[in-house]
Amino acid sequence: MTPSRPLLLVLSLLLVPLAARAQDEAPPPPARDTPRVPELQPPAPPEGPRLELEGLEDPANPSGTAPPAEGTSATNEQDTFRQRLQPTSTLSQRAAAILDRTTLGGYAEHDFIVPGRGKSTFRNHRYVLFVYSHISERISTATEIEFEFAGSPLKRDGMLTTGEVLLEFSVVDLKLTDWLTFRAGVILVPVGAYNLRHDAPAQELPERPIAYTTVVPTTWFESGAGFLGGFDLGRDWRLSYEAYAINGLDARILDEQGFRAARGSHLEDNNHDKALTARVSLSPFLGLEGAVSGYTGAYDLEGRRVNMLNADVFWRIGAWDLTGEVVRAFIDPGFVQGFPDGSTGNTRDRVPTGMFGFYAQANYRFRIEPFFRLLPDEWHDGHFTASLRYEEKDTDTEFITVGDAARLTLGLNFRPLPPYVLKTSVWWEKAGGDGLKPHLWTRDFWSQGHWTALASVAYLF
Amino acid sequence: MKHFVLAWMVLLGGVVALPARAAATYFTTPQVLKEFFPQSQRVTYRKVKLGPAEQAALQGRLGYKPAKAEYVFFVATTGEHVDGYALIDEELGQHEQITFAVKLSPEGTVERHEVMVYREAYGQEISDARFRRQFQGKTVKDPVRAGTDIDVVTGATISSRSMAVGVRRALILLDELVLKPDASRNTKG
Repeated sequence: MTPSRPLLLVLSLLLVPLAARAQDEAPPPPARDTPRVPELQPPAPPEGPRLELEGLEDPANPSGTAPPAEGTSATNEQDTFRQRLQPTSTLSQRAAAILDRTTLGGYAEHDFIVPGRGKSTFRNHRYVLFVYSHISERISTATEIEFEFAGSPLKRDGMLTTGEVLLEFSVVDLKLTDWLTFRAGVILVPVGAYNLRHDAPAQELPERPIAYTTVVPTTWFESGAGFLGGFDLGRDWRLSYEAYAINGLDARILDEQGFRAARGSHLEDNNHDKALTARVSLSPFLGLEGAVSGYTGAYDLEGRRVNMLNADVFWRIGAWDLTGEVVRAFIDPGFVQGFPDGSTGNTRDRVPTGMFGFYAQANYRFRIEPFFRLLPDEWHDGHFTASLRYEEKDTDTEFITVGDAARLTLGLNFRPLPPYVLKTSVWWEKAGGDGLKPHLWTRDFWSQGHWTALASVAYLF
Repeated sequence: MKHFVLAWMVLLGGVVALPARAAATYFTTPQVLKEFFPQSQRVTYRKVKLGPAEQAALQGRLGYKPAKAEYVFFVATTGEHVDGYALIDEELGQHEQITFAVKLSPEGTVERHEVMVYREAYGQEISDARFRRQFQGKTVKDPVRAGTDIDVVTGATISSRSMAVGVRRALILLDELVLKPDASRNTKG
């Protein structure tokens, strides 16, 4: 069935003038300190100073990377893009055109861990490659390829096993307006801030919060599509959002591991339900941001659901960064089942009915001036950061098990440059395997817990 | 089905009608100069080549060697009066150069900072007014250091730092290459 012709005609008549209006009407020049929007072809103000710039090479284009002149950048980029699509263009021409608009980068983290119980080891924890590319003016793609523990094969207990090479993030963005971008691909699930900003060089402590590797299984990625964007609200306030439909978690939901084994369905969904997830953040001024986020989706074929709520806050006060998150998951009672017959995934283990976790962290940046004066010039703006984090997780709220844990971490790092950081930390942890709920304020936390030390180097390139 | 098709048509039509901005080019050079000095009679420029003495002095104050052998200062005037200066420069963000402009008073105080071209995939929030406004009133006596007197944008730490480095360099370049020599000339004269 199709819409009636008169209706289509009316719709076309309504939309064509709107489209024409958007292209014809140029916005007024931005006022001082108003929020900026990129200008495709902004008009020159009718009045103003006489510019006497003859003989001057445009300083905004010293390396040829900036658009050459007013009104020509978009045209040239589009011309190049069209030429690339010509069947007569050679492979090298295409490659050159792609490389012109592609950025390669990444980050890595290498650890040395000394557990209070067990043996010390170096760990090649993660090596992540970024590829960013502007396909056209409005369309861009971003991908992160992660090699965890150096990829595959992985030597475990003396045997070569399968390691991990993953697309943790691979999206294509279509910018519709300044406040609305359509995103599709492998998406970082926007539950909490940590999952979205998990890059090791951006974090002050080398180990991720325990609740945010289990209840929120960072890095939590799923195949899906949706929208993101942000608005300025007045002079200082800003509201940002992300909302997606994704394949969602499957039924491999377990105590201790949380949702970790249930994430990442890229080949197929385990049911017809599509999970919905969103995060809305509000920032009243630079340095303070609060957000709420959530997830809802069926995890098995019978429609039993996982619902998750998260709140996060970040507050920078002078040299202090205060940050924290809390998450609560509500899970319909069920079992690990519903995978194809013969799958080892059908363990029929009981699925926990609730999970909970939080962390609160304080970071203090400081400098020791005499020390920095001894360093090479390019490190003179570096700093140290001392961190303190307390956190808990409970991957089955009905029972006290080893999935309950409380941890207190003290960290010190040295960051000579923003993209490079040497981190050290030591934490004290107590799990609930003895049937006692672990908390910092209970005596057995100190008497029954154990320590672990971790040092790492993380860098962004 | 009919409603579904109609909904899609309205959505697509609406998207076509929305005034999208995709390129992150906020200003060209003429635009930013006219925006900075709308009341001035004319804007011209002064090129300053860095000799060994200037390079050494700048390296001492900046803590690193300036990337260019020559800097261009835009000078806005009305009659014989200097209304202000502007410097357009680039600083490396996480992966790409960020082109920015700084408007300075005749005494060398930052009056305004603008991002002209932002090429990175992320961190575009540094072009927000609330980030740029922090530079207003800064002088060579201020640290202009991210995390000290400049708040960084969460998720755009490196781009925030780049802008702090860039504005601090603009302050020192103007002071060392324009204001100091001018003052010295006036004193001698």
